[in-house]
Amino acid sequence: MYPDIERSQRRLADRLRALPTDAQPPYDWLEFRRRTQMSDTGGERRFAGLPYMAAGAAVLLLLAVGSIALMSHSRGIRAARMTPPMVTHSEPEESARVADARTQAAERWLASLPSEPVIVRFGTRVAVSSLEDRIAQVDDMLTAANFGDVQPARLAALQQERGRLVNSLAQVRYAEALAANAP
Amino acid sequence: MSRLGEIRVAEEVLERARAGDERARAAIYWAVAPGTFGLIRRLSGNRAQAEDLFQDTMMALYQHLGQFRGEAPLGAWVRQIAVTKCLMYLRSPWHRARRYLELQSESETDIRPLLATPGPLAEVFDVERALACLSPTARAVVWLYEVEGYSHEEIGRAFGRSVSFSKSQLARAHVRLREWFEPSVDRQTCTPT
Repeated sequence: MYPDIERSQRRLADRLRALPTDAQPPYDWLEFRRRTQMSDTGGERRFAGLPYMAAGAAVLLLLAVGSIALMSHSRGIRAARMTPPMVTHSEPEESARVADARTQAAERWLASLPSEPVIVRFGTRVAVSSLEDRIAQVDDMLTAANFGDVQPARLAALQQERGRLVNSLAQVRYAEALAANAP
Repeated sequence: MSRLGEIRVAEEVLERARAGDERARAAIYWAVAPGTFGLIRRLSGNRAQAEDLFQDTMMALYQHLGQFRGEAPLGAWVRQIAVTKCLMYLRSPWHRARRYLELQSESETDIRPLLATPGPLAEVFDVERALACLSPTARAVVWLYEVEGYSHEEIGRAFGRSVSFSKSQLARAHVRLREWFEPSVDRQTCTPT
């Protein structure tokens, strides 16, 4: 009916069919078997009673931490934009130092973890990567703020926000580790 | 290079794999893994998610190997598992939320693909990039229809939607791909003269 369009569609289809269909699998058979065995063992343990509850609690914790992180992130960014200087100045320096030390400790602990746990579930992966993305975003804002003429209050709010995000990430990874190592 | 849906495994190997023979299971893995991962990468459009979906698919393969009756090639059976897993992922709230956020950031930058990559693999790169710019659903429909040979009925069923859904997704994807590859084509030609 429309020979030009049909010809063009055929050409397109040929182009698509010419694309490679195979891809190097992410791991070999031995690694696949190892992951499967770990996952199977995890499955058997989950049905053993108490660990099942632990896994459930970990999932609940993940959900709670995720939603808190989301809420605090949006609130924090808003605060970073709108907080007047007086608010942050009223905070004692001591508590800022403590918060900073806690953030650094959390960062050290995160750095000591393997970059990817062996068994990863969608929910955990998405929560972790979205928190990591947000930390990177705040880092960018901090870098820009350090180079620009920015109110100290905004800088402090950004640092506070970063600390909150790092702690949330540490909690998610901790819950992840607990779920993976549940007896 | 054979398509996943056409990969056959000897009945004797299947029997040994069902009985738990390690070497037979490894042989099946190496026969279907590249095609399976390739398909999953295409449909999910994200390597990290593709790895998770691949693990799930291969685990399902070994768990349900006893149910495989051998009426079709093993590759076609594995392909069905992989497609189901991928479509479940594409329909999941996680994916939808993620996609929504991605779309928001994309609209801020409005990145369009740069076609005509120089070099011997130019054609492949350009098609890859054009495909990557389609929405995950449209990409899955195009790939299943044009490359894997699914019918509109099968695609509609797989997505839990109607035949018209598959047809309209494909038609829209074709228009977008044609715009990228043949920008000079006037869209007015789609209307009868």
